[in-house]
Amino acid sequence: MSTEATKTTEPIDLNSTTDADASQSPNQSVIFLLGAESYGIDIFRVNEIIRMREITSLPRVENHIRGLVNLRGKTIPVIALGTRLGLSEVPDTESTRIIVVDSEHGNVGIVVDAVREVVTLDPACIDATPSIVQELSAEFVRGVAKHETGLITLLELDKAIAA
Amino acid sequence: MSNDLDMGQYLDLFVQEADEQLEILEQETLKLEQDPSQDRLQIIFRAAHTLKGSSRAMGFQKMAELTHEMENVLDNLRQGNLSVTTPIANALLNCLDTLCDMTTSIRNGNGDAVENPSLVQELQSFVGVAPAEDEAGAPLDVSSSGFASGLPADMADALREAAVQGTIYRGQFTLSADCVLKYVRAFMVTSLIENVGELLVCVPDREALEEEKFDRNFEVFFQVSSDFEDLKTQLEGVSEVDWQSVAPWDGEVGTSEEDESPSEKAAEAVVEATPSAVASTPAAPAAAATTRAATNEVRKTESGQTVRVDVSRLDTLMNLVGELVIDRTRMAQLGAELSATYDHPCIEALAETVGHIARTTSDLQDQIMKARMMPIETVMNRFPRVVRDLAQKLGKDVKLELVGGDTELDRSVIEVIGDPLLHILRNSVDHGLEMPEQRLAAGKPVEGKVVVSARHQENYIVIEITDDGRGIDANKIKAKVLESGLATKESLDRMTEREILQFIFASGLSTASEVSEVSGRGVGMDIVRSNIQKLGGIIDLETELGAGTKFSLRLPLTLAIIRGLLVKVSGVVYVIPLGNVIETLQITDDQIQHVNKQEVIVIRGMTTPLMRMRQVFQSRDFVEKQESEQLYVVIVGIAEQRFGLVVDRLIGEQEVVIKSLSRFCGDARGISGATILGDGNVALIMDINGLVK
Repeated sequence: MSTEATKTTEPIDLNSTTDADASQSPNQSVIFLLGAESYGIDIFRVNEIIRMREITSLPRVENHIRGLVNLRGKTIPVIALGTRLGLSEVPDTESTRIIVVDSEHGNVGIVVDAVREVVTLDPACIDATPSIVQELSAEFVRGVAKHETGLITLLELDKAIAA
Repeated sequence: MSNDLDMGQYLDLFVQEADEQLEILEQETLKLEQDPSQDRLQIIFRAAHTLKGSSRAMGFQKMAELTHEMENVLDNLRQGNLSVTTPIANALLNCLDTLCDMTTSIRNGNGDAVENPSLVQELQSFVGVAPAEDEAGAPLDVSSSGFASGLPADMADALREAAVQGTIYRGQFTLSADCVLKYVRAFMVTSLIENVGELLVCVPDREALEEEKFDRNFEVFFQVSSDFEDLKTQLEGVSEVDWQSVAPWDGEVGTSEEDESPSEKAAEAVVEATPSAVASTPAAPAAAATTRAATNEVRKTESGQTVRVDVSRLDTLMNLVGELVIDRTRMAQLGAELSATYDHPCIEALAETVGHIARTTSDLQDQIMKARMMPIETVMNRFPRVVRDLAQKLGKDVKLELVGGDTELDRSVIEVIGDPLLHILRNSVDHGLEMPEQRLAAGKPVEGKVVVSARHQENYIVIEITDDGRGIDANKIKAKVLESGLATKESLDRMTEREILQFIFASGLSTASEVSEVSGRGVGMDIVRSNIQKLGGIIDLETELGAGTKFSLRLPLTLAIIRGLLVKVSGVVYVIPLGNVIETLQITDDQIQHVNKQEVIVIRGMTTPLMRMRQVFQSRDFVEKQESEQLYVVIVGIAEQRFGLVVDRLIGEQEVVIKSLSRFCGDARGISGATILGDGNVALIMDINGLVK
């Protein structure tokens, strides 16, 4: 069994997880950038990825709440994930994206600096004791995966977006 | 109950019917004291009778017992053996309260477990009878003899004509007292007959049978093409039938051999046997047949024109229409942009289509809004009783006038305004109106008058509660305010009378010199205000010493789609609910004064605090721009308070669909929701209530 996570191109290569324990789901993650670091969230939580668009800012709310956007007739809140995680703010660029994720309180958008790829991560190469993460508060982190492109911080999404 | 049938499915229906009958009872009983006419007594009697019947059928014995005693008293009133006195009216009203409690208890699945033996005794004392006779016997003593003498003449003629063709048989059936599915039994009878012959006439008619609008008796006339004895045996096999007689018909419409009671009594039984619907047609029971005909008419229109719809479906429809309204605005805007950029015949056609869609959407929206509308009557109907009881308790003479009960508003609003209105009304009777001797001394009529009126005004409903009492003394309020420490003497001295009056809405202030059961605990008006605020409404009052007080409420018709004033603050479009907007002004800096470092402007004698929205709504992209010399001010009202909001720009009025804010937005104070504008951008809806806190 490969010790390295397999980078997938579409269609997703299911063979890479055939040897894995059946109870462990293949960890397909959407990998994105905040600053120079790579982060990953479970693909099943991702609804869609949209380009940056007009955000109506809300007054008198916490700083990480960017505001509301119109997503096909619905208003959804948008969170500046970097700000939320306590990272330094990066101005919006051409590659800035809003990842629309599912949550128990409905859709919410998270602003990331760029979206890179979808990868299947081997559970074996995920380190659940994130001592290597210095910058982030431990509660937001589910683990760190070693990947051929470098380390990927897997986020505890619900904690990371919670108000 | 001897029956094992699952009563659950009938329970809802029963409770619903009970509620309807109770409402009729309450309204009519209240009027009984002023006008104890036969018509009214008849209506009340019927309603009580219907309740008795249905509660007995459902096995609620306590309820049946109580309604039975009510019926006894009412019957005596009807016969003229008793006359309507205040104790009787009180007792009847107390019965209604107990019945309401029972219904509530039944609705909650606890059965009619509300004991009130003293009430039964009290009722019995009026008629002076020994305690209730044997259960089943007493109330239905006319049942076996209660067959139709009221067969309409034309039907009888038709039957006689048909008799030429062959023998007509007449079947009379009395269902057992605990029969649950009366219609099913009746249906079994009619279908047995129809299998082998032709059913000519049903009394009561089939519709009434189907709706179980009969007591226990029904009667059929039929012809058979096969063996009559065979059918007779089959008919005897129908269960839950107490008594039946099937025999060739001799052409007599009146009483049958078995029926020895005077026909007058029989006629009465028929009247009694056609319950609930009659209550809405206050026709005197001149003849049994005509009454029944009227009943059927009412029934027909009711079942033909209305349909019960789950409220959640209406809510979903409302949301869908909301989406359409947004798209409509968006399409109109796109169309306008296209026609400004290109010149093509199609664009004109598109504009027409968009125009049509816009109109249709508006109509659709109107219709759905209307479907959710209820007359304010549903709330007002509670008032007469409250006022009567209160007046009696206080020893005051009060005349209550209700105006505009048919004014309709959204059910979401109806649900919330009942209590605030009741509170104001209680206040008016308790504090507003003087005692009779004081009124006399002041040269006023002894009878105090309270008017509750409702009317539409543009997109709002205006409710006014006016009394002709003593009015509110601003000086007394001033003293109270000082006493309770809500304001200092200096600040009070600076206030106008109007401003001081607003303190009656402050919490912890009661102007009643004595704390009474009804009001004067200093919580009332406070709650009223917060309820009105929740609805985005405005409350105001006018008073004149010695002449009376008028409270006026302005409420939105609906809570899902609102008209709003669009304004711009720091580049963001905000919607101020039009219900809160009093007026808009353009002022210059030098009109602004300062009180305790607070910017204010004076409009028509009222010192109005100003809020610079740029500062209040500091958001991520906050820039403190030098504001121009001309300031745009929107004067808003929340309950009785007035504020001036300084905004960058006024955009215009628009209808917007309210979308609630996601939990992730945290506590966005001052914002109640969002909406999507025609250009696709999101605008924020201001929550004036949250803003001023």
